[in-house]
Amino acid sequence: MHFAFTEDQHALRDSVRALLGDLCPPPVLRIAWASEDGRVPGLWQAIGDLGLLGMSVSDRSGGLALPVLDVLLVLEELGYAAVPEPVVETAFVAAPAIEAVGSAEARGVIAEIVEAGASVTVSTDAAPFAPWASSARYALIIRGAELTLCAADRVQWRHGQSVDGARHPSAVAGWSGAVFSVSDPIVAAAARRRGTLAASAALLGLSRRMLAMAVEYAKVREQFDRPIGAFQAVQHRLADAAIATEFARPLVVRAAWSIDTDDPDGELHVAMAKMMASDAGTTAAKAALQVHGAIGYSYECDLHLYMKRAWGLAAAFGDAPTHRRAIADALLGPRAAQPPPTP
Amino acid sequence: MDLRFSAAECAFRDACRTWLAANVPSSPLPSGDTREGFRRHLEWERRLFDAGWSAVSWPRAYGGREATLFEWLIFEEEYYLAGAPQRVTQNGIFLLAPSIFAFGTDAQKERFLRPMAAAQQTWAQAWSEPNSGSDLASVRSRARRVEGGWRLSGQKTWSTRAAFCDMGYGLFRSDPDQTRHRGLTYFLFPLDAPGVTVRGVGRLDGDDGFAEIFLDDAFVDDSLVLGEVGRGWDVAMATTGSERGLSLRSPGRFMATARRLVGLHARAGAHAGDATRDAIAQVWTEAEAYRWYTYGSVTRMLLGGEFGAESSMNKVFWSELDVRAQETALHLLGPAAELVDGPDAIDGGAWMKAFEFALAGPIYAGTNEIQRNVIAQRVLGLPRT
Repeated sequence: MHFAFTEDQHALRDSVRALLGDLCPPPVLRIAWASEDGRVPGLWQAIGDLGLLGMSVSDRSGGLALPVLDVLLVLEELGYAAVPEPVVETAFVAAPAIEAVGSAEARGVIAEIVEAGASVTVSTDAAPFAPWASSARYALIIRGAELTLCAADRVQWRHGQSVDGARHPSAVAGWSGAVFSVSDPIVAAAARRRGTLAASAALLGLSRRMLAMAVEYAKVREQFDRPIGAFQAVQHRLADAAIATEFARPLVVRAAWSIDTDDPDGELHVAMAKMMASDAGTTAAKAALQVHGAIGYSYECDLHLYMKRAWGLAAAFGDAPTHRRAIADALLGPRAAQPPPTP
Repeated sequence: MDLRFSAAECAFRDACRTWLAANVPSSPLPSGDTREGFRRHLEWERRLFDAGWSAVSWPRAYGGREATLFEWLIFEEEYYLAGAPQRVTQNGIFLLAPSIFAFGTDAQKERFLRPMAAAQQTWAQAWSEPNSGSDLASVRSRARRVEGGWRLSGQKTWSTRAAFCDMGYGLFRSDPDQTRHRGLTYFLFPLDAPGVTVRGVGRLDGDDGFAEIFLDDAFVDDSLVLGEVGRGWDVAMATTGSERGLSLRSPGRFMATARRLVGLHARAGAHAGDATRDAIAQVWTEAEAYRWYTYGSVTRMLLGGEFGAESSMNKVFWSELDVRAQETALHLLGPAAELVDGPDAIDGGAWMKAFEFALAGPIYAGTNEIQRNVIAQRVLGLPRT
């Protein structure tokens, strides 16, 4: 038993963290919020230059063929920076699913992703609102066991507005023409698991970000002649957010292992990870806002950029109550039919 | 990253499981916090010792089998899974022994460790005083220097099983000119020495193994000082680290609790509503989270890391998980939850007992309020209150 990341895994995380620190600080997020498509000029290219778009694709197809554990910390960093690009959708969820479909058309799309940086947005049953759909090249639509890949401009979108000003989520009303449409329950389930796990990892990063912002604020904001971080009520609120995040993390790691090793309980492990990560994200968001006080409620304070991403991801791919219910059913069997109430 | 146990670790697990299956009493012993129950538990401790299971991570010279940290965790998982008796020696083996290993003389190690593992000598932690709980540095008990030793005076309280144990250990103010954590000395002392009086205190759950200890000029010789005179605080903090961290509550305990909860649902939960079912799912998931968090902590320790302020996060998590787990069990029992005996009590009232004991978790080993202060100040870097 050895429950720790390797030096290489840490090194990849560190280089992504440094890149995103430079390229995606809060002022850049605000540019994304204000832009037509919710994205940042040049950021997609820079992420592609790291080779990350091929992270989950075989080396035969020009990818890095990295197991989930090798990129898990990167997924967390993408969350920490609230990156306004469909990196996860394209590279971590769609690309391996498209490659698994295996047709000539599918191989062509993989080449476009890896060589030309084509972006793919994703819509699944539990995360139907495809982010950055208006600017994506392709859309992968998963309904039950059906996987359909369309050129994004062949999809009838119902464009929506998210509380997260960067995400630009859109519902799928229909499509006219598909690159492929197959029925493959295993590939579909794998894609859903990856989407759920990636959202969990992003929530860990967001929790860490919001907690760090709150701690910094609590150290500098003074009231009653001392930093507010010296007050126990503030300390305890932040301690609880830290605990929630730190104890969600090992289950996210374990779920990544389960995906990499095809563990038969992988579905359950991912549900447990998402449940804990969703709760950690919402706990951290509320604690961070409360500690910031009124200024945290303002648009000018950067906190809301991360809170809103966290709210969206907490709900996508099954929120905490949904997963809790699924875990209960898995552990306890189906709920017995209720006897009629005694009159 | 490798989340599988090695062949050696699996073999170790099999050995634990086999021995426990053959030796764990088939019906539960009376509570170790009662006089008769304590005696029966000591018999069990001696069987553990004879088979090399009472202190698995210790050197063989002291009765251990030099198990690795992961093997110790495995032993604990199997121990709790098997429903084996509570460890009435734990205040010695898990709380005092690390200090003896770290600060004891060779003579003290020779004298105390093996008898501790063998349950030939039992220990009670004499930590709190009526006016010193969370604020341990405010202790008032005194040690007065005399020829060849010290005379101890004062009062210690909330000492688990002190009414049944042979020896106590605690902090005494040996330098009256110093205050707070300075000028304290860590003493080991016989509970039957002249001048020592032990008086039982009733507990919430009805057991009588809690005690107050009154010391009235009780003599202890120099060989019973642990660590340097006047440096007792350093010795105590080492103990407190292990108390709050891995040593006190291994994940096995909560994994077994989660399993028993699922088992209780199977037996008594036919009418459990969604909320209770969801609560069971939450408990199960948190027990898993605690298990993997601990594997991560142990891995970091094996890689040379320290287990410092993290232990405070650990303590808050398991103690509050335990309360929720036991509350959920009571929800499954419905109105029968209050029955602690009689034909309609479920499992002989064990669940209410477990709930009562769980309520102590956020209090002992450093209250969760203190732990949250430590997390905020030492992990997050927030300023001292």
